[in-house]
Amino acid sequence: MDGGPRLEPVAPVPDAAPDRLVSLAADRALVAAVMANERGAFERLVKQYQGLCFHIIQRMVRQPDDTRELCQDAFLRVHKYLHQYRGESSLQGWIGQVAYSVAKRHLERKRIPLQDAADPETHQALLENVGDGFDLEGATADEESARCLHAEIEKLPPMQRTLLTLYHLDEIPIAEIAAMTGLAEGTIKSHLFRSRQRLRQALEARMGATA
Amino acid sequence: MNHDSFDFRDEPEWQAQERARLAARAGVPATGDPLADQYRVMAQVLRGPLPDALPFDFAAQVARQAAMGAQADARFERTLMQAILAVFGLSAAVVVAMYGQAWVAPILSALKLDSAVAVNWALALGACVGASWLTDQVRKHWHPHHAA
Repeated sequence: MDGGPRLEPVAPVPDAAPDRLVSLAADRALVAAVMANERGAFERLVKQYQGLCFHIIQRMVRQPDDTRELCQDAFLRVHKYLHQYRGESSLQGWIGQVAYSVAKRHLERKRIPLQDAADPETHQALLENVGDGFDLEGATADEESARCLHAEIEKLPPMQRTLLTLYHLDEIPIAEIAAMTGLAEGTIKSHLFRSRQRLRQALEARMGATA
Repeated sequence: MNHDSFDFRDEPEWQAQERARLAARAGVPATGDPLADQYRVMAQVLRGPLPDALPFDFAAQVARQAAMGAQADARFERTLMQAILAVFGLSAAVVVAMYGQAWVAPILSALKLDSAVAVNWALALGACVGASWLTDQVRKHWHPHHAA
């Protein structure tokens, strides 16, 4: 029997800034409205967080049909277990945690590894192709770089892709990403650092080769 | 290469990556730091929207499904509870029919209800409780919104 997502409480931020308190109050009000079956409240919640949910699941899973289905599954779980949200942390973090666990379980079921097994040979090959003092922006057109980078991002393992998107696109702080994914902050920082380094090196190697 | 912890020797390059991220966020074309500028295009691309998207009416669809699911859950719980109560009641009736004769006399005697007057009072009490329950059921049936 499915026991639902195993949700760990997201650690509250110790020195909550006033705007954060306002945001938490808004989260609690929205949750109270959904719990009271207020008309349109859950739809409002979905609209507010569907972008985040889509980013996490799309980056993890990549299959458009699976992504849509899993996003739906994630929000149905949010609806079912919303009474467990205690309002001590952001609703964004809590919903992100649900989306991440749904996507992770999907990948585990399909036996797709979440993380890259360390591949020093690939890394070394990239390093060898990088020229000294390579002027990336000067040497390449942005459009070509972007195309190349998108291809390289797709080659990253699901977890690294997701962490990059949460940090860069959704602008979620590392502490909150840690709460969503259950990873240590140092691990996330290390993943971000290595992934960005890998992207830069891949781009330089490719552009260096075509120049 | 250890992926699980951040090496403090990488801190300068991490700072360059962060400067590039902040520059991309602010829309600044260059940071003035050569290493950060090597990350600038990457930071810009990572901020870009993802391909594909959810259908425009996704939120409405999910909200409808959630409402239907909640109703189905409530219906299932109600049916299950009724079934359990029915099984329990039936079992109790069977047990009473089989062994009741042996219990009734000693119980009535212990409660001093074995006189005709006491039995009448007990029946009257039972009738009151039953009538009260029946009235409540009728009220709930005609005014379901006030039942809670």
